[in-house]
Amino acid sequence: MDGKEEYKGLIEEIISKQSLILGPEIAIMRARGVKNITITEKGEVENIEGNYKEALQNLIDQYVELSGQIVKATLGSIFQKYPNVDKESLS
Amino acid sequence: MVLFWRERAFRIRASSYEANMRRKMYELAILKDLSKKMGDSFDVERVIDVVTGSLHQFIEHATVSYMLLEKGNVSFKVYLEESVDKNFIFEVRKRMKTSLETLLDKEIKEEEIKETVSGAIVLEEEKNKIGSFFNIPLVIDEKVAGLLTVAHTKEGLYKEEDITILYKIVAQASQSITKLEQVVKTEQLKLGAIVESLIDGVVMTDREDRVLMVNPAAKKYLNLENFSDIDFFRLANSLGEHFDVNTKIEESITFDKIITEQNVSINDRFFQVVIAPVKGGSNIIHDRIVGCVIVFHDTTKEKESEKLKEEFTSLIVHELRGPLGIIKQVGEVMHGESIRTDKERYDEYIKVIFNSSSQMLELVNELLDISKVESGKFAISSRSSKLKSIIEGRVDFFSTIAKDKNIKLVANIAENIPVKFEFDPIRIEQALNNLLSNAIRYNRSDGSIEIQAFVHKSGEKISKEVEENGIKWFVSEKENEVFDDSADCAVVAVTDYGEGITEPNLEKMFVKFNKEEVLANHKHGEKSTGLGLVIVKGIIEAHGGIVGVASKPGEGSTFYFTINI
Repeated sequence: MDGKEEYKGLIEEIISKQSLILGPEIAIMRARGVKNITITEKGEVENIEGNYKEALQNLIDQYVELSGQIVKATLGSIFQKYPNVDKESLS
Repeated sequence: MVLFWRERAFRIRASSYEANMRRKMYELAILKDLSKKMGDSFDVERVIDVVTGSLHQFIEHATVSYMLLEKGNVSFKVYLEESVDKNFIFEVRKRMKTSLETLLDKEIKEEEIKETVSGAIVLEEEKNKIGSFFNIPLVIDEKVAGLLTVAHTKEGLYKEEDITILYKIVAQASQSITKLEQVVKTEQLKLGAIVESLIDGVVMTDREDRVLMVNPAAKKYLNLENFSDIDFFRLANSLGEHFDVNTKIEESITFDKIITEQNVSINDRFFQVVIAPVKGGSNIIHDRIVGCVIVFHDTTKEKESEKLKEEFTSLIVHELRGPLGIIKQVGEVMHGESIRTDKERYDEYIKVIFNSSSQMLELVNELLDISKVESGKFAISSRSSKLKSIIEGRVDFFSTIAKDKNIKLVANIAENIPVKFEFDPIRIEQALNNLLSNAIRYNRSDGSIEIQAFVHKSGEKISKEVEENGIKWFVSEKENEVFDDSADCAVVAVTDYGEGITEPNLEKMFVKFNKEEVLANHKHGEKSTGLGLVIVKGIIEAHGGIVGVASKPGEGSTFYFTINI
């Protein structure tokens, strides 16, 4: 899996988990507001442009802005599945 | 055509502006409402009720529901703004459960969920499906406390801006609760530290008779120091049969009253035990009784002091009644005719009356002196006086009594004692009288007493001065420190080679109602009131001097005082 695909998978999982927590409508609405990530209406990642790490950080920030730092605590298990992705976004 | 598009753009802008204003107004209104209704409450449910209660003014919804984590279960409350079917409610519940499980990363069992449905009627026929919904996690102090969910049958109903405002409101309320909880936690920590360090024993129980807290003092009083886990039975057992703690707690809680029990005997000590209901809960304005606090105040010393006061009063009465009885009897005899012609017997009786009345007067004077010392009205009349003459006079006066007991009484007065300096000669003589009579009383037969006097110069080591003046006393090197800050003064000491005084009794020597001294006097067949040393202290302190005692048990004691030069 190259870097882009890895980030796409991770971002999709984050959206999916946030959909369970917050509800799919608001979770996808928030994700679609992130620059450089193209998300379908079903929450699938179509494309990531530019700096993947920055795009991931922006997505997490979107959710943190909405429901606080608790978001990061729920994402730890997803990050474990992607060892090549920097966990800095969770700190 | 251009005009049409301009008008349309204007309408869109106006509509958007109106929607923004409406959201802003709702946000302000609900935050104001929250701050008014929350007050000092940190009850999450109360806050959620405020938010959900006014939700209909702002956002269209069929149901608003919340799940709150409680002890061992989850409270699920759903309010139907519009009628929906059971399936709709079930689906909301299922989604909320999944959300909470994901947040908590643990499974919630169905039986743990306690459901309450209120509001509109629940429809029997199944025709509703969730079209739109969103969850807002409730986080207090970085921990998940529950979940708030808004749902409707219509699809695509909720705009991001509307949802965001609700998130913002809930976040602000959560922050307020967190702050309040942190204040309470800090106060609890402070209170805990205070209770831990209290001299009084404190025990707290809840309404189910569970022991919530036992402070170290209570553990000590109840002999529970070796137990880390103290239950109610152990507590009740430790209190013995004389104090029915169970009944007292029940009475205090049932009648909401403070019960005070005096003189409760526990493990050979006496206590005042206070049992009070504890009110509280998550909201301090709710006067709900949540448990009971038991305070053990050790009154053993007060009780002993009270007993000693009674003994002292009885002793004084006895001391006065003896000579008074003698005077009365002599008076009766002297009333007769025959005594008037027998001059020898007459003179003897007059002497008895004089001695008895002197004895009474001495006692009354002692009591008056004590009273003056205690009220801070003890006055001295300082004038240029000769210390050496007073000491020599006292040696002469007490020599006869000392001789009767085979005790050698000598004076060791250093040459550096000034011939004359300012002090009250009568009071200093009185102080010496008290010290010397004690030294004779507690000395052994064939013993010796030395009255010592020398000058202490400010800043000089007293041990060196003692050595230079050939003084031998029982004041140790460590005890010499009391002289370190002293000004130039004459040090007067009475050193005896009697029984000596044990360490714990030394501290009580200059204290009124000193049981040890009274008992020691009785042991020596003396009916002393034990007030002499208290008066010595009063006299010396009125001179601005220091007074003290040092001893080696079995070898002897030194009582000393200073007079500033």
